[in-house]
Amino acid sequence: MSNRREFLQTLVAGTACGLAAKSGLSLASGSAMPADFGGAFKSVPKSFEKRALTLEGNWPTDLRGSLYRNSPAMLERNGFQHSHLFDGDGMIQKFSLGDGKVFHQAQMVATDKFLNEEDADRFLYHGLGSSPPNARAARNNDSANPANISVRKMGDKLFALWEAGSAYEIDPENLSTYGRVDWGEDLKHLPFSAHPLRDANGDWWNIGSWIYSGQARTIIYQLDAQAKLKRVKAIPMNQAGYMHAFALSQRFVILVNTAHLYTPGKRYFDSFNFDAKGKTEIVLLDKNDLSVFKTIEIPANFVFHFGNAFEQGEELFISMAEYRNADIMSKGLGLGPHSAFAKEATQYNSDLSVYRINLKNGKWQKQSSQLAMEFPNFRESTPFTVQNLIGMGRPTGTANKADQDYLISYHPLSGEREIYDFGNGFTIEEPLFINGASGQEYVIHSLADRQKSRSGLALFRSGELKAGPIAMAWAEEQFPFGFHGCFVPS
Amino acid sequence: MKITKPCNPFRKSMLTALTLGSVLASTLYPTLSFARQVQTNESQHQLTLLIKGYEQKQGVTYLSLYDNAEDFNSMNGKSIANVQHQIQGDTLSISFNQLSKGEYAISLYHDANNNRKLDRNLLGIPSEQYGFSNDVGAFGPAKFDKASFKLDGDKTVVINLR
Repeated sequence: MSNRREFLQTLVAGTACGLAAKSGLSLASGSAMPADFGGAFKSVPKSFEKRALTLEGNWPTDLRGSLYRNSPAMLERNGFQHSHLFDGDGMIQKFSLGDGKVFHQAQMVATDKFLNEEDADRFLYHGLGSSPPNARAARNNDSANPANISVRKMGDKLFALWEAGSAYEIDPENLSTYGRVDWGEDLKHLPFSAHPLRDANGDWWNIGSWIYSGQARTIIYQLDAQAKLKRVKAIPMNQAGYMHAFALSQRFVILVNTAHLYTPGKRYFDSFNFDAKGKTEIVLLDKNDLSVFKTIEIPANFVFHFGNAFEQGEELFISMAEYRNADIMSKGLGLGPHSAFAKEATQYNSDLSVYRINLKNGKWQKQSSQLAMEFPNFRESTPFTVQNLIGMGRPTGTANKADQDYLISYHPLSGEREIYDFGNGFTIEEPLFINGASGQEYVIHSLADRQKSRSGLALFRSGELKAGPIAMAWAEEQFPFGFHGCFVPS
Repeated sequence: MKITKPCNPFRKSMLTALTLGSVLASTLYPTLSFARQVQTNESQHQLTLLIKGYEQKQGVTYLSLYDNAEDFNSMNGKSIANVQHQIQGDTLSISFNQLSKGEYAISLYHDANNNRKLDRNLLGIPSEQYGFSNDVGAFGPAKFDKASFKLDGDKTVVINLR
């Protein structure tokens, strides 16, 4: 391992000096994306050197720390372009905040896949939705692991996360890759989702969805506050449904086993079929012994992301960005003319829904927000409290243009909402609640100004989204579109 | 190279005994022959196995050769030959001489940490490399009808480890 670490650090030293020719991709400028979708992605470097961003507004002096984000950046090699956003190799972006300045740097995650493909100068494996020529058979779940969905700090370690394979540990300072993480000898190469959740006592929970080789089991990981494995158990599932994330309440690990069902196919996404006449199962696992407390059937749906869950008396509340089918995954995040990045993409709208479940009898009610809200986030320091969620998306009214993103706050019980409209041509990425040293709460997110081909940050005072950002920071160029990340205060 | 217990990676029990005629082994190209295969000179064929894709250049490969579905598909089936061979590179070549015309299938695994077993993960799935003839077995133990091949002359079979 030490040799590998030295090698990777050497690699990083090289890339920091501008090693890479341009071969990643990012959302390109121009709002008319469907019309020229073939040119809608442009090359970006494999690394971004640390550079100061141009500031607007007033960046609070009490706000210090780093916003880490993971982006599927490398979508093209040697003339082959991936056809699905999920297939790009992960790039960790770091926005450093402090002393009234904002810096940005980025680095590819040096996964085994990335290193092997660098050597071969081509993509070697089938992606989730892409099939490069002469692809090799994957030997295990990490063969094609691009570590491209999220980046999370657990304990004092930073992890780049995928969902169908292992985590990779990243150096929080220079973003070099230490290597693949094995939580235990018998856990090598097993799925570890991109959405670990922190319990109120500081523990971390995560899932790994195993739906291959005729099995349907969900691995439940419990880690301590320093990200050391405390407990692991494989839970049999009634169906091999797609699960990207999960929810956590005071007493339960909550699995939502969707109706997007797996049977082996050539490409990963070809292996799924949405069973519209089937069911989604909400499985409540007792945290004490990980036994199944209750399984609740709801109509077939598809879900990537959840807000927080909480129990009040005998009721459990779970919020989720719910889709009526899985087209968002099979088509919407593809990079073809049917992409959700296209103008007429309202067909892929989610609905932020709140399920209210009676824990005694399993009966449930659903409250629809009428908000096509994605990337819902909550305050991780108080995970099981009633609180407003933040996310990005749009109201589901027909008057709203599909290519227009809004920053949204939504209260799951009162239905109160707050929306900020950046206007046309902006792509908003996952917003997070963060706190300054003084205790002031903010909402921060990265975004792209597609008309000016630049990326940046926007900062809002929490609870005052309508007033607009209090500060922004802009780069001179556009960074790769990203999914998830975390803020680490310093 | 040693002749040893059978090694079908998905079969729990080991074969109790093998009746071997003669064993000829060399470092690079080990050669085996078996009494039950020695029938007539004109029916003798050589089978060469090229096993590729070792991720670790250490440990031992355990390989078994079968000539019928019942034994191959059974947890306790009898193999007609078993080989264990130390790994030194990323490819291993093994040759069997004096095999009769017929259908055969191979199973093998790479005991990289020398603990004399195929390590499995939490879900019971092999965490060390394994392989079958015809490169089948992606989704669990291969069956003879998928893994078998005809031998009616000298032949080389490539197996890519999973």
